[in-house]
Parts: sequence; structure tokens; C-alpha cells
Amino acid sequence: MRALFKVTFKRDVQSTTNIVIFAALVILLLGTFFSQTGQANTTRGDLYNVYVTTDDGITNEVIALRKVKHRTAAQTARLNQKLTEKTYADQIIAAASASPAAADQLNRALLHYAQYALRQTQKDPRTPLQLIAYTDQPLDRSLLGRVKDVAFYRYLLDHHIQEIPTAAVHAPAINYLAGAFLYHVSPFLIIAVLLVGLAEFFTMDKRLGTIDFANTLPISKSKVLLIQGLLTCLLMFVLFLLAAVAVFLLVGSQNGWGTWTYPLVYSLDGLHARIMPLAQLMGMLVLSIFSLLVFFTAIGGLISLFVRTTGTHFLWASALLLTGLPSVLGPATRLMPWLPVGYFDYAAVILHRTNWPTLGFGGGVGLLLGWSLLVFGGTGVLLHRRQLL
Amino acid sequence: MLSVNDLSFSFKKNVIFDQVSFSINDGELVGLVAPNGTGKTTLLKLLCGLLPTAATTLTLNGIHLYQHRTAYLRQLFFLENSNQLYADLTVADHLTYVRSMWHSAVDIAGVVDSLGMAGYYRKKIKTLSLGMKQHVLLAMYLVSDAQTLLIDEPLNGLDPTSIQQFERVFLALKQQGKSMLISSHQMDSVGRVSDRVFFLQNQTIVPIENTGQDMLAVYNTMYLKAGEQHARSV
Repeated sequence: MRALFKVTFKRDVQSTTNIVIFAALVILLLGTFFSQTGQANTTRGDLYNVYVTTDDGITNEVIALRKVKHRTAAQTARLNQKLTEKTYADQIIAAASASPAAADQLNRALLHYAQYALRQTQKDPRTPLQLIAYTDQPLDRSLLGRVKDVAFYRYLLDHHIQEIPTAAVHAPAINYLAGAFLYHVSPFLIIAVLLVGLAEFFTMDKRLGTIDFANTLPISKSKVLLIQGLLTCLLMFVLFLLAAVAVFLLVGSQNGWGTWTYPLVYSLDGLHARIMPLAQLMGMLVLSIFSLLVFFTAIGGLISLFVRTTGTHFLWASALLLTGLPSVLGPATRLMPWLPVGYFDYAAVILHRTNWPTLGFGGGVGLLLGWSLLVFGGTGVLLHRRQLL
Repeated sequence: MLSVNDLSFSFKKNVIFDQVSFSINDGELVGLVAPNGTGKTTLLKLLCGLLPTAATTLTLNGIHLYQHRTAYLRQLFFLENSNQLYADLTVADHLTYVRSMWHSAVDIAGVVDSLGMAGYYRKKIKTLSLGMKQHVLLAMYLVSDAQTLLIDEPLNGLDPTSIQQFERVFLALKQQGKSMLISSHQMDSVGRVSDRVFFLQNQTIVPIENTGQDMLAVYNTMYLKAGEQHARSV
């Protein structure tokens, strides 16, 4: 077994496919970085403009309402509300105009406005509030959206962290990577790249004509496939980690590193907000990719018994991957939480943004690993019957 | 002893072997001869389970292939040709791999020295000539220490000196009690080393005892005459 492991490892590691996979992952993850090359860092200015736009919106409404000579009671109430909003907005702009060191002041002003917006929404969800509309982020007018805002700014204030929006130009490395995995690079694209590697290694012997050597080894063929799968899976996982680290180092050396405690807000129940520091997010992302790799390795092993070429292997594996696209999943059924396809979109699963029922992050990882065992067990039975890889 | 009982094999509708039976004793070297495309490699592949046979067809020292495949394969070594070597691995990688997988106690350094491979022992397979690769293949057979050796055209690409060296190795293996089935087109060599020669003809095996007769003449009688008759009838 040790000799088989050593030889398979040596063959896999020396393959040029590794360089291709690594390069593809790095290029994918650096997409935003490249698109911002040569661009001035306008993040703070852009944020300031967002606050000013909010303030302008309120001001325009105030002017319009003041022009009404005979205001109804509702119009008067609305004018008062807008004047209150303006007070908060002015505080935000005043804080944003200060030096960057005044992050706490700005966070406090934003928290106050978020708390006000929450109170108003709790009183009447239809209250027409002038919300801060960040670039590249959908405006969430729900009560949960307000709850999330309060949790977010309270966390920033408590931890003395400056806000870094999703659309930040030259975001620090930690925020950049998180943004790339959650918003900018589709999970399906990242998995697809890894599937190319799996397809390449699982079909290598058949393609090169060396499969007969493996088939005449005096050892169970399930063990041969298991070792090939284990090594391929680990190799792809290491390549993924190396690509992420390379992107982290490159972006960090240019834009700074950021902080692992920077918050992401999410909700488990649609009512309460929870904070996830980026360190936890990264851990979950890595675990998600690992469990998906294990699952697709098990699937790849099964496919490899029936196909000879990398292209055909990749096509079959990608066809399965595509069934996890929200547009392909179709209407949610009671079976959905128990099917691996519901967990392919790891970003949606981690942030609890799926439109279909799931077992949550931990349940998803467990389910994928469970299915992997099941598929590998089935492949083992099949191999025992046919005795040939 | 390798026993083959009622071996039949067809490729699509083309019958390659029809109820072939034979055995190869311990310490016996059998030559396998036939024109290209007749089924020499197919037979070797069948004997090591790379192609399907009936459950009770193949027995090696009392072990049925389909009942105890791993134990069966441990007593046998077959690698079709040097194209099946791992191009990016070294000769050393191959030999240590085979030694470990076949649980052999053969001294690799001794085999390397005896075959004159020390100069390229650490080189990658892709950098070797065909003759060198043939030496690597033979070294793998020796290092495996398997009781039964199925060897497909081992003399291809070898110079006369190497052919004589290979023949000496085959005879030494025979002395050690190994069973060997060696396919070849080198009829003079077959005549020098074989105890028996299997000629493949009409989907079956024609076994000829080697009594020192001219094997090329036997070959010509068996195949060229058939070819001439075929030409005349056309």
C-alpha cells in the first residue's frame, strides 16, 4: 500500500495539470484585483458619496413636503420623520468628513441611524425610510435588514473596525478573498476547475495506456482506486489552498491585510441577526470546498470505471454539478435537504441564503461526506464484481 | 503450474480462441508464436485476467483467478510492453514499486548490475531508448520474483548482445523453477530457449515439443503454406 501511495503521489505531483489548475484558480480569484489595477482607491470617497446621496434624498423630500402649503396630518408626520432622518444623516456625513481615524464616530452615527430605522420599521414596516443604498448590494427593506444593520454597526463600533463595503476598491486581502468567494466568483466555477483536475487524474492511466499495470497489481482494485482518489482529492485541496494563499499574499502586499474579525451578518431564522467574523467564514469556506471535493472525488472514482477520456469524465461530473444551480434545482421538495445538490452553492449555504431547505452548514458537510462514503461503497461493490479499473 | 481449461474468447463476432486447453509446468519455458494479429497478446491478457474468461478456466498453482484474484496475481507478472511504464518515474521507482507490490525479497542492486542498468537506474523512463526500456521491463520481471512470467515480445528493439543476455536470463529463470510463456517473432531465439512452442492457428493452440528442430521451418510450414494455399484459392 505504501509503495502504491508513493508511486501514485509521485506521478500526480509531477503532472503539469497541477500548474494549470493552480493558475486557473488564481486567475479566477484575481479577477476583481486585475480589473481595479491602476484605479485610484476611491472607497472612502464612494462611501461618502453614498451617505451624501442618502442625505440628498432626505433633503429633497423635506423641501418637497415644506412646499406643501396645507399639509395633511400624514404629510406633517412624514416631514417630521424626514427631519429626524436628516439629523441622523447629517451626523453620518459630519463623521464621514472627519479623518479616517474617526471610525468609531462614523460607526456610532451609522448605528444610531440603523437603530432609528429599526424602531421605525418595527412600528410600521411600510414606513418610507431613506435607507443607505450601497453600490453592488441589493437594498433590503425588510425588518430583518434593519436588524442586520444594527448588529453590523454595533459590532464595528465594539471592535473599532472601519466599514469596508463589498464594492470597495483595493479592499484588504482578507475582505478581498471573502468577497471573491461569496460574491465575485461563482462556487460552481471554482468546483468546475477542480473537476478538471479530478477528471485528469482519474483518467490518466486509461489515457496513457498504463491501466493494465494497475489492473495486474496483486492488490484489491478498490484500494488502488481509493489511493488514487485520496491523493487526487488532497492534491486538488492543496492546490486550492495554495491558490487562495497566493491571492491573499498578492492582494495583501498591495492593499494591506485587513482584519480576520471583520463581520459578516447573516440570519439563521429570518428574524435574528448573527455575526460571522471573516476568520470563521474562511474556515467554513475551506471546509465546504473540502467536503465538496471529497464528494466529487467519490463520484469521479465511479465515473472513471466507465469512461476513458478526461473530457468525457469532466462532462459527466459537470453535468452533476450543474444540477446544483438554483435555476436547475427546480421546486423545493421534502427530499432536498438530503440531496448533495442542495449544498453545491457553498456561499448560499454558509450565509443561509438558499431558496431551498437545507440541513445547515454542519449538516451539509456531514451529508456530503456521508454520500461520499455511500458512493465509494457502491463503487467498491462494482469493482469487486468486475475486478478491473 | 498454470492450467488453462476450455478457454474461449471472441471479440465482437470474431472468435479468437475456441475451447483452448493447456498447462505450463514449473520450470518450463514455452514459446508463443503466431503472425501479427492472431492473438498472442490477447492470450497473455486473458491469462492474467485483463480480459474476461469463464470462472473455472484459469488456475495457477491450484488458485482460481476468479475466486482469489489477488493471490493469483501475486504469483504472476505481466506487463505488455514498455509503453506501459510510467514515463515520468525513474527506473528505480519502478523496481522498488514492483518489489514492494509483489512482496519480493529480490536484491534490486544485483538485478541492476546483472543487466548492466547501473548507468540509467536513476533516470526517468521517458529519457530511455527502447532497448533500455526492454531491460527495465525484464528487470521488473526479475524483481517481482513471480512464479509465472508472461512476457510479450521481450526481444523487440534489442541488439544481438542484449538478445543473448536476455536468453541467458530466461534460461536462468527456468533453472529457478519459474514458468514462462514468452511470445516472440525471433524464431531462432525461440528455438534456443523453449521447451515447447505454442503456435496459434485456427482459434486454437498447436503445441510443438522443441527437439532442436528448425523452428523457422516449422513456422513456414504452418503459416506460409496456409498463406500460399489461401493465395492460390483467391
